[in-house]
Amino acid sequence: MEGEIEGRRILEDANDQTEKIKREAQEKAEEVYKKEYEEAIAEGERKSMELKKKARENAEREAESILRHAEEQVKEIQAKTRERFDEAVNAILGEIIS
Amino acid sequence: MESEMHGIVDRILDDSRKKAKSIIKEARKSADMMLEKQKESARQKAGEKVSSMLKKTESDLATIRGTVFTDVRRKASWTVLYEKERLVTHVLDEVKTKLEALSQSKKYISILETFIVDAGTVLGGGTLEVLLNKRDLTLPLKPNVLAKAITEKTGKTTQLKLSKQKIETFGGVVVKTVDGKIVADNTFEAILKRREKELRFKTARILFRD
Repeated sequence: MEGEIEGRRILEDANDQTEKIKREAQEKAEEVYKKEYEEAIAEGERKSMELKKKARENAEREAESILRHAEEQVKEIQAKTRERFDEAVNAILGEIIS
Repeated sequence: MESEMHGIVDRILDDSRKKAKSIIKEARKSADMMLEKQKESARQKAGEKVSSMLKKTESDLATIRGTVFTDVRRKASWTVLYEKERLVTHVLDEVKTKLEALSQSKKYISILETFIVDAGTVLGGGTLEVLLNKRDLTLPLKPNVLAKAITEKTGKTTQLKLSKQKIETFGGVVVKTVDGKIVADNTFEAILKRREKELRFKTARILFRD
């Protein structure tokens, strides 16, 4: 008789613990979902940013030749105008005083 | 008899403990599975969003590339244009320096006379006041000769009066009607300013021709 009472009590304790485990799991469920969701989204955003960053860096590297070409053009212009500087000054001076 | 009873009680308790352990183990397993399902569901939902985000990123990449190239092209043409503008300005600065030097030379008096006649002609002749800077007032100008030239050009009898008022200029003249209503400014500064656009264009045409 005593053993049965003790046995029932052990099972009741076990059931109480089971209920507690279920309750705690239910309580954690939303938080677990949210955390997992946010981590996955954050990872996706990181990937997206990385792709964009790489695309920008690649494009900038490729576009450097355009700037180099412009700098060469500037040097050519400077060389040409060095030869034509006096001609231009005299022509404009003539425009003003003639 | 008593030890038999003990044996039965111990068995009952042992069974209960085993069952309790199994119930708890099962509950924990079930809770873990439920949480794992939640995670899986979250990953799936996020996966859909990430997938559409990455699709948009793919289309953004072309835009990013286009923007970078547009910016660089704009920067490149700005670099060339800026240098051209700088070189044109350099020429005009040099012109100004030469005009300053010219205003101290012997040639200057004839230039000044031309400026006076031009200004007088623009004003249509008549009685006109001539304003010069302090240095030019000392030059041996011949107002009557200049007035005659204006008369010939405009067909209107012209008289030039040298004003005592001195103007601030490095060269050139201001001519105005005696009532001061109409003014022709032929100072170097005014000419450079008035004709700046045209002079910059002409300078550019010489400097950058092929």
